[in-house]
Amino acid sequence: MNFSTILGIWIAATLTIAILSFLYRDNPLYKFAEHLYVGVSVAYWVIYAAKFTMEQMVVNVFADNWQAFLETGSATAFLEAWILVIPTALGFLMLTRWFGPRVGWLSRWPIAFTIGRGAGLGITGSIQGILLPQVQATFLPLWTPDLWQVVANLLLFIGVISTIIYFYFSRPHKGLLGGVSRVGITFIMVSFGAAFGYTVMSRVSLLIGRLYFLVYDWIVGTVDFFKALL
Amino acid sequence: MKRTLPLIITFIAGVFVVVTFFIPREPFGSLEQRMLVWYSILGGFTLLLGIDSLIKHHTRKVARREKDWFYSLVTLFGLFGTLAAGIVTWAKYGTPLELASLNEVGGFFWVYKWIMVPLQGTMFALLAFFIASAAYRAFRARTFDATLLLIAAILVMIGRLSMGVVPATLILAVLLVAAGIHRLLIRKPVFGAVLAALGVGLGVLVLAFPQDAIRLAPQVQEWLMSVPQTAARRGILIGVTLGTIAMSIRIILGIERTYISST
Repeated sequence: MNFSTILGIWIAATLTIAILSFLYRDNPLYKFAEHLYVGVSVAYWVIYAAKFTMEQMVVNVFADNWQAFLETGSATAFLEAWILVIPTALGFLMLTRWFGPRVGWLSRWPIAFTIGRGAGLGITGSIQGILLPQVQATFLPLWTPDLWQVVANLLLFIGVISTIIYFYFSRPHKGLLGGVSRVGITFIMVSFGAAFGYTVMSRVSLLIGRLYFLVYDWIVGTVDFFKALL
Repeated sequence: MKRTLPLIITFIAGVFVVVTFFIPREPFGSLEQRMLVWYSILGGFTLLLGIDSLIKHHTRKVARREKDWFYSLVTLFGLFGTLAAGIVTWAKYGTPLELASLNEVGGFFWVYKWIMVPLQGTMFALLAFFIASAAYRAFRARTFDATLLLIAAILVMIGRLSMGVVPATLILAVLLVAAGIHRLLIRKPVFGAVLAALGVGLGVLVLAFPQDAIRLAPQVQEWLMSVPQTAARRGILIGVTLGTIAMSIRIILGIERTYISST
């Protein structure tokens, strides 16, 4: 273990304790760690986007295609290089918001492109990626040798239909509709409870991870580091 | 120009995505992928807007010495310090971090490993405590539905335990009996009796067959997650998807245009 690692462990341990100190109450130590986290994480994503979006998707693609065009004279390579002007120009138009409403309205163009593409995907992607697979996965065989599987498939079908009907608010939930939506809310409650339990356990495992770090990496690691020094 | 052109761009982009979906042949097939790349590039530029807003907000606080201005200084220090580490590492090694193997490359990865990851992990771990206090308020088994929520949550938690299944199940049984007695006392005899009977039954079964309880707990958790939880989640997902499709059609046709009124 070198000095850089032990320094990192001490900083990480201090920040971990600073965040956990919020359990007592809001305090300057927690606020310090919280604000540091905001700054560090924003910078991390900026560098990440610069490397993996701007460099790899714009600069490198342009440079490679331009090089190919210069070497072979390929029209496709020329087009591949210069078509990147469109998203880059749209990106710069997005930044016109910096200069106030006189030119800021130009940012509507890239927003419109983004919204339009999202809406298009909202139709095709949702149907192909979510709606049809989910419907397909609901209509399961109700006649199998395994009785337990039959019950599970039937419950799944009833649960999906009744949940959808619960969210149908165009008619009052009375009579048959009321009965079915009552079944739906039962499924929804079990689902929320199960999801809640799952989330709690994942958070607890994260907490165990942090406590493990404090005990083994920080305390034991520091002792080992000084033992090695002596 | 200010309002009509964005509507036309939205219409063309939306219809274009739908058309390319139905024509998988070239050049349409690759155009969808190309639009995805363009979308990512635009995302990179919008990040600049976000960072600009963050810097302006915090520098203003520092300059005016507003309340808690010191913490704004900490944010700016974290921001510029990490940016500097990233730029220096990038210049020195040709990459800020090696994504493929997450090898330790320079100071930027050091900041990521020893500052960002611990802060992020602890922040989420902190939610374990708050989620528990929220659960206390939400799960007091006031109604039949709240009881279902409580039982499902605790069964999933017990099923994911690696040890202590029997004591945890006994705690659930005691909770159910206590909730049942409480219901009985506030004149809800049927509901109270059912809860108490459930609690007593569960407690007796666990004490009589502890090994079976340990074996069955993960299976119950698995069943809850794969049948009732999946059913309700799927129902909600199908509803959300139908809503998304309807909203997308409204946006493409220019009926929904609130997104251009904000700029």
